[in-house]
Amino acid sequence: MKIDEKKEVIKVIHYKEVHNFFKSIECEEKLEKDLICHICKKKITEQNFKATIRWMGKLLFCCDKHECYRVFTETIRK
Amino acid sequence: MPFKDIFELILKYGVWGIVLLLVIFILLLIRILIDEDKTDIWRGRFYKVLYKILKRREAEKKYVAYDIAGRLNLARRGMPFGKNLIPRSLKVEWIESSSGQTYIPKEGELVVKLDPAEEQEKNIIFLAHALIQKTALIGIRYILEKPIEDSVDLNLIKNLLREIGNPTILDWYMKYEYIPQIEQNEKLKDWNSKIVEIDERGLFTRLLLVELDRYGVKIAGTSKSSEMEEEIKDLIKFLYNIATKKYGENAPLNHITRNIKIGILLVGETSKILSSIDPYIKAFIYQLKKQVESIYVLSFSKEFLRENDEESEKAFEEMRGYLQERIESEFKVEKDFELTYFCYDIKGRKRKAKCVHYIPDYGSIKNFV
Repeated sequence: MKIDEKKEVIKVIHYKEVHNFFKSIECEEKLEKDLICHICKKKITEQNFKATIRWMGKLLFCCDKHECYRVFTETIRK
Repeated sequence: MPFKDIFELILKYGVWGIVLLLVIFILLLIRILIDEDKTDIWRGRFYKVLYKILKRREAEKKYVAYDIAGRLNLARRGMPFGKNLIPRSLKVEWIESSSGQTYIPKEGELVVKLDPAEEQEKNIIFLAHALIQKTALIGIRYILEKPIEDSVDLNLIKNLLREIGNPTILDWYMKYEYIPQIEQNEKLKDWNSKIVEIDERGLFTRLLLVELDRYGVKIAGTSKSSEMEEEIKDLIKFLYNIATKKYGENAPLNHITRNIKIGILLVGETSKILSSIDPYIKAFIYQLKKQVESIYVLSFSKEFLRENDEESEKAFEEMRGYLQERIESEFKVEKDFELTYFCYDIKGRKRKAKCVHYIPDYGSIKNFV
């Protein structure tokens, strides 16, 4: 076994820049309407948004419930 | 060094005292600067002060990112995994989306919204979680049963957060994540109790994860089978039996299946090792005859005996060293790693332990015993 020093990059956004982030991923208009939490199916708003991932070409979203975040991050298990 | 001591040093040695303090300060500074993770922590502290004074978002972002990376990366270095380090080192990158540019996340790229700097503990937990999910158990997740996979992840995150040394972070994680998750699933609860027991003897990161890593390399590219699932379950049960073995009780000390072949030498009985190390050498030969691919020599010294039997403790340490010398000189084995640590035995007593991992070389004539 060798020591692997390659860093894992995790992208983050500031809690005050959520609106701009949704604008940059061109989902601004879908906020509070069409975007739902991939786990609990609740509508995603600027306030309850916690994470997103591109999976099989589609953007999936997750709300800020701990349980949802935990299950959502299982998607990235390699 | 307390301020009073510094003042006394200057009063006592005058200019030379100041020079000495300067040299110490420069050496400390160099030590921090050449260590990226420590530098990140200091950068984080610097930006935290700036943020508190100026209330600027840029300072807050820098504080949050440096502080998380520094703390998690330092903690990860404190977790023993043989030669390897799990999880991978972390870099926190802000997405700057205020300029009106389009941002397209790459396939599999996770983007997390972080909370205000005042809730930094939560930010650390969220990213620790993502880091473990993304960089631990690579190559083996697809064959693990979900309760086992979840339990390994939960305990890895717990160990990583414990290593940070901030009780608030660990308490929050245990209260809102770890315990609720275990409580809602009986199968997970059952496997987790086994893994916790293995962890308490210090064998979770030093043995189980090392073997799972080796297993992942061995089965790379093969499809999942029920035999593989059983092999992993049996490995956990095997280690659990050793971890919960009581004094005088017998537990199997080798585990041989198609893909896992490990042997263990337990050195714990003071009277046994003090009379002769030959039985341990014979046990090592026995493991070699079984053609095991990994041999772990686990020794638990009687740390608690020191108060009433210092001589016996010293003799134990000497014999333990002598056993190691003989193994390394008499057999052709590669010493993968040697880790000394403290753990608690089944009766809750603190023990000084050592885990040495050997990989036998069966191509050598020395091992035809």
